[in-house]
Amino acid sequence: MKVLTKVIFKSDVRRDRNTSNKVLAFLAFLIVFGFLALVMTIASIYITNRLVEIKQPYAFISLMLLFNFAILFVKSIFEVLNVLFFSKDLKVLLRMPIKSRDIIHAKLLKMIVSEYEMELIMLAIPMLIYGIKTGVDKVFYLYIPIILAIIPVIPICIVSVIISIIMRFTNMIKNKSKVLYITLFIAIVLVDLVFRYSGEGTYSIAEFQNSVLFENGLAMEIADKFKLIWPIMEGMLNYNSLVGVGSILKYIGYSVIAYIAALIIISPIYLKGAIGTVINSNRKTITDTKLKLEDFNELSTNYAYRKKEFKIISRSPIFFIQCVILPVVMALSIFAIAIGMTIFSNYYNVDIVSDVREKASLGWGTGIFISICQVFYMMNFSSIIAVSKEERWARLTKYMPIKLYSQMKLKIHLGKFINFITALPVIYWYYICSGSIVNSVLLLITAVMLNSFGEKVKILIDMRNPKIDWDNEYTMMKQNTNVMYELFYTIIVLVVIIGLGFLVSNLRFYFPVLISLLLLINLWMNDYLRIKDYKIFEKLY
Amino acid sequence: MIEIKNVTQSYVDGKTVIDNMSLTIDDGVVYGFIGPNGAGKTTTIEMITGVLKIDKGDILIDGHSIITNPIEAKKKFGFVPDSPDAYEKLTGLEYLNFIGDVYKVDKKTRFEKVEKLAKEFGIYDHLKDRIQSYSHGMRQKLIIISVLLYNPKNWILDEPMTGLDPQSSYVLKNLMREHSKNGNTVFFSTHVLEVAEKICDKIAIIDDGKIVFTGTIDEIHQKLKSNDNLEESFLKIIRGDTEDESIN
Repeated sequence: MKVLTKVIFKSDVRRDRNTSNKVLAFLAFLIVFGFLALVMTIASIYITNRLVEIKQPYAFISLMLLFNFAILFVKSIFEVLNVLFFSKDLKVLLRMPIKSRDIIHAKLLKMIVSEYEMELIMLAIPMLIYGIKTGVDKVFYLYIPIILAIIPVIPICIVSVIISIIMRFTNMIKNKSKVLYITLFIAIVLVDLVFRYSGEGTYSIAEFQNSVLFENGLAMEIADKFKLIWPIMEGMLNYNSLVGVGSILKYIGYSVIAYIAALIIISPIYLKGAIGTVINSNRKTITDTKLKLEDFNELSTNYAYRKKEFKIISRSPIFFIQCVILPVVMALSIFAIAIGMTIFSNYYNVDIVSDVREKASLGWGTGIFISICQVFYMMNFSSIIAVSKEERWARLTKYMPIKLYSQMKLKIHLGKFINFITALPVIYWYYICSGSIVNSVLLLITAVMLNSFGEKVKILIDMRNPKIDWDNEYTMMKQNTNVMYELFYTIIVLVVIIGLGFLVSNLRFYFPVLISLLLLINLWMNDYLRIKDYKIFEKLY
Repeated sequence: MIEIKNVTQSYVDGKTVIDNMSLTIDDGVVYGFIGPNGAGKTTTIEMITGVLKIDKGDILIDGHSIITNPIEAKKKFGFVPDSPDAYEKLTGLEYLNFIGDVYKVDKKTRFEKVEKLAKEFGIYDHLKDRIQSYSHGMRQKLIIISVLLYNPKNWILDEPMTGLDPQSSYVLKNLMREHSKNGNTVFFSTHVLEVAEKICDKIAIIDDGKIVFTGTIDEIHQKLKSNDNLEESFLKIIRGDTEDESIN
């Protein structure tokens, strides 16, 4: 069992081919980690200060725990589906004389440990800030690593059990993508129900409003509604008494029980679900196999290429979510905020729009809107996996009689299109706030040019270190160190755009300077890609 | 016609994989490329097809350099790799249509060729399934059909018989012969010496990055002064058990 666990853990480690890549990846990781840590620190300080002001400091802990649990549950759905059921190592493991319990044990441990990286930023840093800001005793800090270690256990175990039961039955569907979509949907619904109704199950804004009237009432209200976080909450609040120790020990006990229960429940049903995904693969139940002349359509090479790119992404649920759904949902949320702001301003005479308008009339304020576009662009992974998504079949790009430069342009087309859609609500929001059509059009031009440059940067990042040997779509995204370079690129863009806004605060100059800059780097990038296309694809063989 | 002119290829650490190789594959012949594992067969083929960068020398396909005029050169060959590469998320039919669009094959030709070849290779009923569900052999057949769809003058095949069932292997061998009879070029690597012996007009033996023999099967026998089969002759050449210095 130990050997299996070790092998599964090693297979999850990010691998880079040479030392310089490793060093660069480590540096990028440090910078990105540092940046995210900084963002979390600033946000934690801000929120703690506000909560202390309204005498609700404990609410910070319950909000943090609630937020982390929500993320853990959602992440676990993807993680469990891919690690337990759609991982390529299953083809090897299922042939070996290994008990299903041992496979589950090794994979559950791997999933739990892999959450620690995120927890370090999302949970440990806010807790540390809370401790410093509220002047807690040193004992409080001893609780942080313990909570960090146990917090992913229950969400992962609950999700594993739910998905294993669903997979036991959905594996009868022969189409792998359909299985993934159906399981994903049912799991999200069930997990949401578990999460919502683990407490009292009903919510009322009035109750939350009342709770604010009492000191730390909000924290208690949240913990009461979401029973899953209650023992940790109790432990953190009573950290310097036996009640706190008892609560944490109780939660550790719950976690151990959840782990053992997951092993017991999943073991007898796991193999059928897992074998189903391996055997069924992606076989369709097609009855009409006869070819007709209409099955063959002549398309232009460019159109056929773009169609192929879209099909590859849309037929992989993980890629589709990361490349299309997530950025579009984010954009729609912004759209909703924009509409909401307008309605809110109209009905309650709260002049939020004027406040934002004042800031949007300055370079750095407009820079923030462009930065929001860039953050959405960053969330769209279609160009950063433009080549790698095709696995080892990506080599076909080199046999084809199509210029590599043209192929690069075709590969980033989808990314550019999705980015354009995500930028529109931000521009609309800017229009509402600024009230200037001219500035909004200039923002649109800036966003389009930034989009064009950014997608080219993404494909360059992908080609600098193509990840064509992957187990499944999820681990490909997760282990893909290239995503970190994209975050790094975004940080640079944000610094430049907002920084330039401070230097050139008048929009009459800010836009021309920024657009000229983007035009120049786009022209340079086009030339670079055209001249160096073969060199760029050198690592793909 | 494929001309390999003084080609050298090295690893990053400086180790030479292909050492000053020159080889001309004339039109109208089936040319076998044989050698032990790690001799440089796949590396040579990857250089011909433009997948690997050539450190020194040049490769011409019907007179077009793969270095200076890669697009024209790529239009002149069809390649079947050792690992059958096709987009898993597409169906077989979608993949063939995509190849048809890239190489500008008209609708009617696509329909006729795909129908005929898919039946011959026994994958007709699976063309509307995703490639993801195909076995290695089925993928190999699909790639072969995709190459035959646009019927380039030069066929380059890396271990094409691997994974094929006897019937499909027989069909492919016949197609290779027929293609060369029509004045075209077939260049393929193989480990199966019986196949090379049966269908090749000429062979090239590569060992440790160098061509150690080129010629017909009869010429091997003449040089080795024996009537051994190709397998025994091949082993003699590779082991250096020959008096003819021109071979080693």
